[in-house]
Amino acid sequence: MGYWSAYLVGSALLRLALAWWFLYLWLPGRLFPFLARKRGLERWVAGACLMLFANITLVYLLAVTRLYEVASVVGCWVIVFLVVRYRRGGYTALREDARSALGTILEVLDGVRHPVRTLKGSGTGLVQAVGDALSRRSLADLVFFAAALGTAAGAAYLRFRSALVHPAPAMSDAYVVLAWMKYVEARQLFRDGVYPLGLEIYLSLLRKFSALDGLLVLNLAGPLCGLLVCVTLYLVVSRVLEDRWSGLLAAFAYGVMGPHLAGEFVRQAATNSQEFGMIFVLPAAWWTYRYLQGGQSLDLWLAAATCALSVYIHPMTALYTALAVGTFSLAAALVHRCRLGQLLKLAGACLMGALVGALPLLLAMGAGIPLHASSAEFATRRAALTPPRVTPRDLAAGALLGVGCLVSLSGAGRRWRGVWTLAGLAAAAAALWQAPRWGMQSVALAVRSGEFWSLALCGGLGVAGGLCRGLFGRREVLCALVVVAGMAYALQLWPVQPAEPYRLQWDSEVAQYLRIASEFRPTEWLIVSFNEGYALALGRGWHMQASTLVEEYDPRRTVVGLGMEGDGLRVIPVPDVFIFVPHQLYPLPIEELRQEWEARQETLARLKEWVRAYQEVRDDMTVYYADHQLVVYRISRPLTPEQRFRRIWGEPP
Amino acid sequence: MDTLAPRGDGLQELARQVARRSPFPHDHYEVAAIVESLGWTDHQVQTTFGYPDVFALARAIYDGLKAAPTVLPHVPRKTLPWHQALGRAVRHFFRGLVFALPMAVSVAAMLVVRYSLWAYQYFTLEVATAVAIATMLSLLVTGGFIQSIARRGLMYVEMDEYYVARRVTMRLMAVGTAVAMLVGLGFGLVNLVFLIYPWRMVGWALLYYLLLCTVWLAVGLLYILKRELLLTVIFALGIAAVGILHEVFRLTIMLAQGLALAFTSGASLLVARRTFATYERRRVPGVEYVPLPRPSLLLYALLPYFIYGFGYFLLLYTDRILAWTADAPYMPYFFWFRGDYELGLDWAILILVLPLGVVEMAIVRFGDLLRQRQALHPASDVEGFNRWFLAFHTRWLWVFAAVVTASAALVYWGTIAVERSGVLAVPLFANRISYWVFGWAVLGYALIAAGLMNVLLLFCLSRPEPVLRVLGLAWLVDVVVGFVMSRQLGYQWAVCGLVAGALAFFLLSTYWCRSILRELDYQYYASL
Repeated sequence: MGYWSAYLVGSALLRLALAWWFLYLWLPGRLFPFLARKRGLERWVAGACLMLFANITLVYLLAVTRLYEVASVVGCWVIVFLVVRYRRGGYTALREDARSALGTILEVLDGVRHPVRTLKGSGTGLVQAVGDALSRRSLADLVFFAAALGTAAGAAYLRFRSALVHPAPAMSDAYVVLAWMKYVEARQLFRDGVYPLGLEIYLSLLRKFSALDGLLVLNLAGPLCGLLVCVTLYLVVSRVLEDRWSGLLAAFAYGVMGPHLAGEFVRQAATNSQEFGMIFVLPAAWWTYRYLQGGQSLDLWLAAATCALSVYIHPMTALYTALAVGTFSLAAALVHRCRLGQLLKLAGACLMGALVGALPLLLAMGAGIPLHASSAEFATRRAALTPPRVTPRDLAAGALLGVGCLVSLSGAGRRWRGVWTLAGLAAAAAALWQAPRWGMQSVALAVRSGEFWSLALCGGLGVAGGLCRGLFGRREVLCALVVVAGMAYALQLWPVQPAEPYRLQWDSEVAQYLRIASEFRPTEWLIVSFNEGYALALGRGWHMQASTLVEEYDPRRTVVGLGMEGDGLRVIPVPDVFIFVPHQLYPLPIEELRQEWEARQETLARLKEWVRAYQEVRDDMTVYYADHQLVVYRISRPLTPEQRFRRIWGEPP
Repeated sequence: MDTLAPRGDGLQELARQVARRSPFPHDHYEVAAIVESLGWTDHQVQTTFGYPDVFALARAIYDGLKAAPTVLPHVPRKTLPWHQALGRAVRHFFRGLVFALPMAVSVAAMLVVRYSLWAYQYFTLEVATAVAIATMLSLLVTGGFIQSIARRGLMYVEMDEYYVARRVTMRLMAVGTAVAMLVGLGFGLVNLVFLIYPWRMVGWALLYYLLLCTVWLAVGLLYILKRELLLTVIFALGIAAVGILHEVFRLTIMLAQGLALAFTSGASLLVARRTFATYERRRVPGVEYVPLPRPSLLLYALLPYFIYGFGYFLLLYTDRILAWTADAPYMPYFFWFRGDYELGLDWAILILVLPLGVVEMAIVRFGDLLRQRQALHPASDVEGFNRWFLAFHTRWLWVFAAVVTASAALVYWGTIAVERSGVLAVPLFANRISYWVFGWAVLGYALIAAGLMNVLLLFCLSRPEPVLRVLGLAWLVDVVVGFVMSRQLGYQWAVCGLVAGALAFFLLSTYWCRSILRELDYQYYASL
């Protein structure tokens, strides 16, 4: 397919990782110092959730006022940072910061401080600290670390492989997400109708801070969502059951055994907003539980922010979050006997969060923008549905939860009380998943609720870790060995394959788009291709539908200057035109597209004819790329010195 | 002064320097402070004059000054006949104009012969953008160093300490060059990670950037040595070199400009070194050099001026940055040269030529009058002294307004006349955006020039802190107004940010200037 290489993918991954680290790990520590009250993984997750909430809110505001771009986003962060610093120490704190920095420089100049020696000292200290930390670890710790690493690597492989191998975006929704992301960057909200834009805003910020092509961000950020769900699942299950092996088992079940769970696993290798929204379902529930358990206002705010996030991102995840928050609250209320006032406060905060999340959509609808038609149609579609089959795995999870609840009732210890939250969640998810059994005919619920059930099921499977830990007591290493052996056995029993979602176009087409985008100056080229090319080229170059070319442009007539001109057609001011002509259409990916594919077949034949006719009368068309799937023709019309001069100094009126 | 004689000429010279600063010191502590401010330390005092420390030396100088006959200068009511005063004023006015000459020569060359030292009307968009980035970045990076060189260099030059002036300015220049290279490296690394621009473009940008940095730093040296005319000649020769290399030797314009820039900075440096050497040879033998300050002291003393130098160029270029990053249908990269915007600003900056002369005149006059009026006003009439200078400030603001108006009219009608003559390849008034930008930028630059007058008055009184505050606020206004307007209404509206920032700069600097003039008696004393 050319151009698509390990270097390209590797460097894109590195830049995306850097951008993600900056936006969601480094920055929250600076902007939200109050998160220091949280520890370890929870602190990171809380920081990332708060940052994402703040970013989506900010981008909505900036896009509405047509001010959205890197400078304005950074400017807002700087203001927040200064305000936070000011509130913590007043004006003197800011002055002191500057004074201290200047003092350090002056000391270096005077030779009081030696930067190289200081750096050496810190390096040695760091090495020593790491060494000390490692020497304090037990064998069980090392086994846990290795198992967690293996789980993460396995989960990543299953989800990322397809995106790393194929440049073409996975599944049809990807093109919509890509186009909407670019509309957001162009400060156009809800262009195709009202629909939550949380994912698109998240991707847009990642794109801006990684400076990658939108396509690469789309392809690589999607599989990350499933990995992050594993992280939050581990966090919540290990905290609720107060046992890391439970968390690890749950994460393993979701991350590595995912292909055998209910729901469409392939969606986790694509970029879809529901999969993105799933990240926040369990954290929202966990912080409501924590609030009811400890009464700390930070947990209340975090719960509200994650509720808002789930509404910002996808209606279905908003529903799941509501159910998860409800069941966790109920379990916490029963187990910890919290006050009514606390419950009311929590309900108010979560509702407020949901309202904030829904506000952009409500305002847009108030402004007369209709709902996104196909999404609305999907959400309201009804059909006679058969309930999904219950497998032994589903029953095993239910049984494990049952045992956990029994253990908790037997007075085995305080830490088992949390199992009721997972049991409640599983009951709610199972009820939703089996909705057709109770007469519900919503297609959307039937198709999508399997993923929610998978999440709850993995929480249930995690209980096995806790049971194992309880069984071996202080001999944690035995528990570690049993859990790891169990994981290996599960893999042998149910082998897994990387997800391979369907695609809509040849990889060569997308690789050639990337090559053109890198070789030619943005906005100075035009691609003629089928519909998928529009989302790719949007914001970088120009796109023309193949059907438009064959219907409205006569190849025997003039092709002028910068672009192409037919009868009464607008001149497209681009020096390079690329016509994508596949030898054969990409095989029909899904049945819904059959009619469209038949029309394309006809257009493709006409397109080939058009190219032949053009080549007969003109000599400025060359073959830019050719392989067994595709030929890309290039029509090159460089700017004249006069046109170039006008571009620099402006057109006369 | 007789008591000082046996210690040698060096001590006499030092006593004279102290007397110049403060003819009637209050006590020996004041003398000690002045001696220390001249850079003398206990160790040097011990090794050079044999006194145990600065205080002992100060006591000796103080006694010497007290013993010397007190001669009060006669201050006549009118110091100079009107024609001489006018001649002096005109001289300073032209000296002020000379500052703007290299800029004027470059703009004129660009408009008439199509190229200058670093610009060319027929650049491709990529090269034009690369050169624009290089120009802005070079001025932002070296702005602080130029200001520091000017501040410290001028101080030593006025003390006739050319050796120290050379050492300090060369050190600043070396640090400036190192920082410029580091910034260049950082720019390259950022591009390596984020692939913002094609490498060809980055290569051109870095080449122009590094060469321009050396040119600006060398310009700073010639400025402190008061060699502005020579600088103009070097600039003109550089432009001629571009023409010869490009049109006779058929080198590409970028290569020709690169060589010409190297020539300009090399020639400027050579002239500066020769001038320093000439002045150093004139030094009275036997007089010890003022010691070089510690790097940390130098940094601490120059930091406000460094920040000012950076902030000044930031204020001048923010609107361009905003205009060139505003989204538009044709926007290949996030930062993209827009010639029509640049054209308006290039023409508008010509109006600064006359007002800069007025600023120089006003500052020199202020310095002269400060000494004269101090002698005229008795201690009981402090209020009168301050009031007089407030009136002086008001008067000069009016003079300035008149000159700016005349300058704007001259540039406007001059432009029309030049355009009608057909020598311009790029018609200014044929493009609505350029015309729009030109109109607003004229106002913006006029306000900045007026603000500069205030700022220089504050610098005269060694009060850089309010200047930094003013500059910071003005920049914020510029950014906020320019950003919002360029994003809401179109990139050309970024110029309103310049005008708003310039207005804030002028108003705030006027406020601070007048606040300080209201207590000038104290401020003047504190500045000594």
